[in-house]
Amino acid sequence: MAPSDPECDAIGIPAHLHTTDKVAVDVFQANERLFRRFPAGTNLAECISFNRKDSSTNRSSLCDRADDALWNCEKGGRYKNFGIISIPAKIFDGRTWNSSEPAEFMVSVFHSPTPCNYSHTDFRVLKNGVETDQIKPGSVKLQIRQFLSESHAINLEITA
Amino acid sequence: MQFSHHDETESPFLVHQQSSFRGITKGISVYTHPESPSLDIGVNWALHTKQTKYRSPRVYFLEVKRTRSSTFPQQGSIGLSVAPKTHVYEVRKGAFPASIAWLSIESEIEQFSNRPVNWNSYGAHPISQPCKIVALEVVSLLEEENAMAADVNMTADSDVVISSRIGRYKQTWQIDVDGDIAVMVKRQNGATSYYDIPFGEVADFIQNLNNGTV
Repeated sequence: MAPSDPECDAIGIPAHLHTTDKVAVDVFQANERLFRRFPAGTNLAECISFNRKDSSTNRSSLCDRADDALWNCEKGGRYKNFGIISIPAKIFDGRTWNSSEPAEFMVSVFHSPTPCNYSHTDFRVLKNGVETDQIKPGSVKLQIRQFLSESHAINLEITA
Repeated sequence: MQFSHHDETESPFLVHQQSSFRGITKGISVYTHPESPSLDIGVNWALHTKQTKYRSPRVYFLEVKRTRSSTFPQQGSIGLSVAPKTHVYEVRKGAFPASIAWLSIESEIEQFSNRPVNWNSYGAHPISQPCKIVALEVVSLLEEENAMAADVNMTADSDVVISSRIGRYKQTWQIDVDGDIAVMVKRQNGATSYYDIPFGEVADFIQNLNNGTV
């Protein structure tokens, strides 16, 4: 049985998501996916955020199931009327996008556990190797979203 | 805007939705087979218009495999992806909510600016005023060139994304939180180009698309 965190227990988060004394795992498995919930009416590629603080996903190797992404790991309870998508955790590996400036952009995925969500994972965007919180010019972000929408890498997770 | 809604009540999960505005008709059919819980959910989606710009109906079909073998829920939430658009419906036996409708592009942009903070549960904001003003202007400029905006979405980063078509050019316009404009132009042969366009040059850019000189 997984060790639990009393504060996460108190808001009803299942123990397998509690971080307790576990550390971040930098390596992602080849078949690992990232889960993210989305509200109705959202285009798949557009429900992903490239702003680090809003980019949250759950990595599949540390979840029991896709709909672990429906837990509100800060306040407790579950989000209702949300769907879940998944993308390969290594989708951005080795890929770069260029702007006319010129500048080279990369997206990296990093494991960033929170107390009640050990699987929590974020994106960070690097411009010429330096982290940036905005992708400018916009054509670069458009290219990244187009890559996601055309790569068929996004799966819809349907949970009964 | 015209809107019609029709439930195929003889089959518990067969639903047909159709709406139209500005000469474009969007329809979505959703069906499952309750007698066989392992069957796929199917989605038909059509976007067609009598305008000569869209010479033939474009019909997309996608089968979404269910990931679990339990019986299909009589009530619950499913997401249906019709590339690249996704809809999430509340499923109730015999009916879909009649509230699913398509709004005019301008109304949708207006709604994006009225969304509450954290509308996506990850902290997203409504679109900014500069974004809204520029997006509405882009829609207006497209209309002036007889190139209607066919679809509009809002991203988790509070950008507005507008799909449009001029002759052989499909475009995806992105207006970000600062009102900065980027556009992807996809030609009939599949070649794709990306542009960052100053606000003052959008009208010329659209005209050039119309003239085939981009």
